[in-house]
Amino acid sequence: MIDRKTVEHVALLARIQIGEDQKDYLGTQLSKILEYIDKLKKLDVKKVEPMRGLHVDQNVFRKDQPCQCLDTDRILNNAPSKKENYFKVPKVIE
Amino acid sequence: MNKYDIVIGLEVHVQLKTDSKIFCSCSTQFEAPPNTNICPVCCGYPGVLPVFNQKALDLGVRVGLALNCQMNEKIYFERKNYFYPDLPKNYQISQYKMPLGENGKLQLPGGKKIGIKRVHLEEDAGKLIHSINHSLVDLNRTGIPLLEIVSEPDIESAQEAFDYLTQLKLILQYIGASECEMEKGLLRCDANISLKPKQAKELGVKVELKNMNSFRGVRDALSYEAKRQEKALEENERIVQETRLWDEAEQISVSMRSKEEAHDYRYFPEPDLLDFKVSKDCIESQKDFVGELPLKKRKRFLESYGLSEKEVDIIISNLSIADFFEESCKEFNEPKKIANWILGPFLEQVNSLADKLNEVKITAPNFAKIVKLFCEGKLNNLTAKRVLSLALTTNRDIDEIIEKEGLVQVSSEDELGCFAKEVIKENPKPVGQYKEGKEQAIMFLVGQMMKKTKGKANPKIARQILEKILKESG
Repeated sequence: MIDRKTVEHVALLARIQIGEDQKDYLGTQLSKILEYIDKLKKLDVKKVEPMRGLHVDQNVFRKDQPCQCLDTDRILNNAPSKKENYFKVPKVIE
Repeated sequence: MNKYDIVIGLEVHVQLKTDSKIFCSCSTQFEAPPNTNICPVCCGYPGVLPVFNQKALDLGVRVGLALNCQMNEKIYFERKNYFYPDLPKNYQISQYKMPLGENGKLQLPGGKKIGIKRVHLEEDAGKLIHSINHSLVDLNRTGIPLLEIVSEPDIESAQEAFDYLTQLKLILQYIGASECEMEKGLLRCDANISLKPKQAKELGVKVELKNMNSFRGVRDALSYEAKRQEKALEENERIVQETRLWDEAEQISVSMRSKEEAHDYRYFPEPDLLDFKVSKDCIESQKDFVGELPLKKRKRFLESYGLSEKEVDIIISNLSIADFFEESCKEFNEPKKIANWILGPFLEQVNSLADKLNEVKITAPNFAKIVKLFCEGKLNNLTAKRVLSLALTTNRDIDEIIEKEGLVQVSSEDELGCFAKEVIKENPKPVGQYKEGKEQAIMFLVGQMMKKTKGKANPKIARQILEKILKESG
């Protein structure tokens, strides 16, 4: 069972804000998802290699050749805030 | 520190020497204007896909081999999730469960082997500049290929950590995997250190040290931290597991008050990248680049050239100097003399160049020729250095320089005899002192000879002639 504390922890990790009234039903929903995972866990997959994708026999590479990047302005113009040629963000020091 | 053992492990990040980033084609050029080497991929735009740079894999494999790692045949990337403005995707593509290489070792010059736990590939994050009210973000560095090299906690002192870093850097430079310049951020080092009572089996609580800007900084930070922890243990204080920042100016480590929330990176396989096979071909081709590593070269140089440890250490501290030395010896088989000239005038002149060795154009045969002419007495110390300075960044023909600059050493008795007579006439006081038995006075007269001949006199012969004339004149 996912309690309110775990919901708060997960919300913090994901940097999302949730209201007090949401915590209980989100907890219930998350619990249901985990219950389903528990069901999946019962399957015997000892002999099955984990699969992360198809075409695993072929490496897909890029050559080490730099090419022209996008204009700084074009990317900076998409930012909510900028200063000179920098993205501007609220002050963060961990 | 007799009661406790020091246990140190180092985490080193090196920038691999590629022209483009690890998952996109942006340039890795150093000090480009802010946010000029960025694209939708490294800025973490929705819907973009990373594509792996083959050179980053090759260089990573090369490092793994040079550090005697077991290379995994199959590798894959994972997402390390955290929120911080230097990382626009909110996850760093890194490796976790299946790193590039594991269980390696690095041997120190003293013989001790330090275990290498793992080497893995990852992308760098951006750079933050903090001002009073806000932070500014430059994403040029985001996506630059890094190799993280994690040592086992086998290091037992601050000095040993310093030796490990020095040797590691040398290896990485020898194999051409990284320039390793710490001042450019091409190599970064974090350290974990704990103390345990001697004979105790369990490790003590470890502290992570960050923010060291040089190898010496790492050594100072570790010495300081070892003493701090010893004092705490002696006073029955509890060591807290924490990250501490090294304050270079104050020479102290300061606790980085981090939030209660422990890091939870929620690693999971990166779904945008497929697995990669590290083929035998790839490994074989990278083996060719590993070549003779610094320790082996050191041993061979000590055995074959009759040089001191100190001389060898300086020569092998740079692969191009080591190669230059060996090529020069092939032309003029007097290793000791070649070494003297490299460690003396050559490096002295190189160090005065703005771009140091990068500006040097003189070939080893031409350099050897100068040393040879000096040893044969055809150039004296002064003129040989002058020829070297004229050829160092131009590689002009040595004979041509000597002829054009009129630097042929004057050794003929007739010519020098005339100068000697003049000098004796002009300097009655030192001549008198010499005659009264003060032998040192002759050196002043030799100096005057050198001055008169614009440094071209053979000082040995000049002295002989002066002595001869003075003796004859009683």
